[in-house]
Amino acid sequence: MEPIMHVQNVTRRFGSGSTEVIAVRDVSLSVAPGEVVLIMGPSGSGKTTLLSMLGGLLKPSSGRIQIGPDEISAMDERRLPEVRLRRIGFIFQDFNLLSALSCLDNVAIVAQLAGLSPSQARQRARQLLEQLGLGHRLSFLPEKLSGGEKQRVAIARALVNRPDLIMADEPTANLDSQHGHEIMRLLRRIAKEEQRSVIIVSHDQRIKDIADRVLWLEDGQFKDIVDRADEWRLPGGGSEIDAYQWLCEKTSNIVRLAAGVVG
Amino acid sequence: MTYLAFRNLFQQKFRLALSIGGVALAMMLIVLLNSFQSGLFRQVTAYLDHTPVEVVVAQEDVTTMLGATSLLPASAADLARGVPGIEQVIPIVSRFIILDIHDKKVVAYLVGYEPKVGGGPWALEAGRTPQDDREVVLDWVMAETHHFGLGDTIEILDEDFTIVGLSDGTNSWMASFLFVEKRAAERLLLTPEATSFLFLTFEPGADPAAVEARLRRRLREVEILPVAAFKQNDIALLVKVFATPLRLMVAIAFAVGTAILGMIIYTATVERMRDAERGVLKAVGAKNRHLYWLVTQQGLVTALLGVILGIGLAWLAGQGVMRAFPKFLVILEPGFMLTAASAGLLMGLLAALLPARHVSGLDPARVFRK
Amino acid sequence: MFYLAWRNLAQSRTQFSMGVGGVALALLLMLALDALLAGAGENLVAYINQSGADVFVAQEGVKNMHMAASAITPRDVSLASHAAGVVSASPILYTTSTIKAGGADVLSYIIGFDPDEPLGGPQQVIAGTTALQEDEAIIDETVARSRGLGLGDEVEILGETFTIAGLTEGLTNLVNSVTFIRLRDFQRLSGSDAVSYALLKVKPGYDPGAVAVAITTRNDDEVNALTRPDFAREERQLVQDMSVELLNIMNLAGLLIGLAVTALALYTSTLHKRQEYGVLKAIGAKNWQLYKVVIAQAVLSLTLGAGLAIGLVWLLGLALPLVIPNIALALTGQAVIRVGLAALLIGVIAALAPAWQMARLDPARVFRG
Repeated sequence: MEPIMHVQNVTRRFGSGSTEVIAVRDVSLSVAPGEVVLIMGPSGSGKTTLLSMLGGLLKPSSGRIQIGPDEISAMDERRLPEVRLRRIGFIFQDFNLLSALSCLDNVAIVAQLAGLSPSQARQRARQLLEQLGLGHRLSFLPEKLSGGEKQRVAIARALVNRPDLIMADEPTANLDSQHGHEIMRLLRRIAKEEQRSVIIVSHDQRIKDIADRVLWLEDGQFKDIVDRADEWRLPGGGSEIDAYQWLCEKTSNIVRLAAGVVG
Repeated sequence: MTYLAFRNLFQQKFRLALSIGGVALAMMLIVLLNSFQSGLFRQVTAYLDHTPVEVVVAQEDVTTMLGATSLLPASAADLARGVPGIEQVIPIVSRFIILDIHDKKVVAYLVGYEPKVGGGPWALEAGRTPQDDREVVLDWVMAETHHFGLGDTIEILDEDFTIVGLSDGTNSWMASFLFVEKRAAERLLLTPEATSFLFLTFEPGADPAAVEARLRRRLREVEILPVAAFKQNDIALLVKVFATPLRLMVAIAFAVGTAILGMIIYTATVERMRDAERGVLKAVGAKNRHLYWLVTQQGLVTALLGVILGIGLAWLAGQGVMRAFPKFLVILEPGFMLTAASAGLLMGLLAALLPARHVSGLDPARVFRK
Repeated sequence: MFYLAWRNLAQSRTQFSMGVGGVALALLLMLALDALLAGAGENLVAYINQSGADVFVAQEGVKNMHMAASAITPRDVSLASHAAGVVSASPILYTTSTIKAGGADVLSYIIGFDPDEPLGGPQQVIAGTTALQEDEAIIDETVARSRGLGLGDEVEILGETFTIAGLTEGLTNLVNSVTFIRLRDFQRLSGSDAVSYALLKVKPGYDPGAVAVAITTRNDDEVNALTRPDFAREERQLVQDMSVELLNIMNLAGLLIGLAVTALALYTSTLHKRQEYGVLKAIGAKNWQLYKVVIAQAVLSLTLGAGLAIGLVWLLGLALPLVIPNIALALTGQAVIRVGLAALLIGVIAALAPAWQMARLDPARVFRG
């Protein structure tokens, strides 16, 4: 299958001469449609710089980045926002919702930016939010939502323009364990069901198991590429992760039920 | 990181500049308005300041030069001259008239005087005083404004006069002086042999009270006032005209300054609160008051800077206005500067009230929510 | 984008109201002075407008009443009355003087009219009569009230004692009141039979303009005739021409202050929201889409500010006369247009800095290291 994203020998330098810093050094990567890629690494490893470049927010000093037919590394600055708007969905660590708008409008506004009429945008936003279980929270302001709910709004916002690629920066950093897991499983389900690729930058060890691939970035370079999907395969094609996920969901449902009966 | 910090500081500077600028403009307006008034008063009394006069004789009940038309009988001047103790009698006939110059209405004060006796212009920028009854001396500012020069003709009440002189110090924002021979004025105003005012000076050593008493006996049914009182009345008249509009404008300017300061202090309070959220708060209550005080001080300092800048701007603006429109006289009075400064600080205090209430009403627990 | 602007503004209500309030006050500076001057102009022409005259005849070269000196002869009046289309020519004598009322000097226009003539005196009195006898006067009711006088009391006019026989209202301005006495009394006191103006009534079917022109151009007359609207216009023009520079200075001040306030408000609110705008940029909003937010904010605050300013002037126009007698505020269409244009200009300039802020926002900043 043709990769949705192709990164070739990308390097990013900051400063010059004696103060030059090479944040990302000769990195290459291909991401298939529907693939979940996790990029991990210590602080200062260049994860954020890499993600910024993959998201078209920063130009590499050298190398190529291609999303579908668009070579974003060589594209005119003025055309990049359009690519970001339609091809990429962003999810942030701090959720970054617009505090003055309701959930519905937070999602709808991004659709409006892409040219949808306000009513069309609202309709699509409503559908997405309902799918994500937030149908009863549409008119709430972000300050009234829990962390998990906010991140789900952010996901809806990232999906509203039907992007090929979702980029998530530390999506679970401000969530507790349970919600973190939920969000991750959600992302994986979306990736698989809708064939959208998900690139996650995180140093949360707990979410390693939902990724198809885990990449370790250190000093600007990839080390120890591990393709988890090759290692464990169940008959029927599903990976161990999917089975594990299913088990977790069922367990947590039972736990919740029990808690409800007891407390 | 340093790049970000620098950018932040710059943004704060810009905002600070805007804030101080806004307050300064409001202050400038207040000071400028008052200075206009001071200048006008000075201009208005200029004629009486420069004419040799100690006592003014006018029509009965007329106590101002500007406020009323005054007409004395023809004999008044001679009667006054005959009073022992009077050294000099200067008769003038004067009236406000309106000139239509290039389709604009120009208010002028026509003075008909006897060039050999006095009561005419005291300083000439150019030319000479009138030598016949078809010549006029114009104020130089008015001449320049309406593009008149020596030798030009000007139409006064449908009669043509030749401009032979340009006087200095004879204009005000409201009206300029025109000087013609007394008989010319009598002809224009259709008041033959009439006099509007008599300007009297005493002989050295004469007892003013006694001389005045004699005057009153000799001249019946007239108004006899010391010149100081006359000038005071003219100023009082102007005060009446301008007091209300002036106060209204000043009140609005004050309100604007307060609103601007209020915005700054309020914004800064809210910002500091939010920044404090991110830190570790122990005694939230105490911290609130401490923050509020910091912010109020910022507001007061901004107010003070605004006042100083405003006064400076007012001086500059005054100079600019006088250069562009010579008919305005702008005088910044030191006494008023003090009043203005107090007004500025009052603005700062008032402006701090709303954020104070906001801060004291702030729920400490809210601070922990994002 | 307009919706976002509105929601952002609604979120910071206090700041928003202060911003709008500040702009309103700055625009009020422009409006209030204009309204005061227009009101003064209206006051000045009150007598002219209420006189009932169709044509005014004045001395050659004179087109005003206030601050003007006009003298015409009885022959001029007679000739005017016999001109084609003229029903009547009523003479008045006019001067600016001081009357002594209740011990105080009150500045007043003194108008001497003939009670037997149809025109010249007040068209109506709120108390007493217009049919003056010898040594009787009609004074302004606010003057009477402020000095504790009423019908039958005495005042001193032009050195002589008069009895108050009538009270008028609406003919007075801040400075001068209007006092009426008999023409004959006035002439006696001034020692001449000259008059200042003649007020003409024109026959129906005749054009007052044509009548005025005919009287003016007659060779042996040294007079100037104007229709009532023209005369009133010239009078109003007086105030305008005298105060045009002052008005310009005040307008400039108001504009600058309004600019400072709006720029401050917009800049501050954009500053507060820069993280959010950065996010929008990262997500793919283009600069011009963000500019729309700033412009929408500017439009909203300025429209509200301008509306509030106009409302305030209207309110002041109602409230001030209750506190200060004889002050009048008149809101002119010209002033409203000027304020609208000023608001537009302010909006365009004040939005520049925030727009620049938006453009300079680095979307990559949204990712925390």
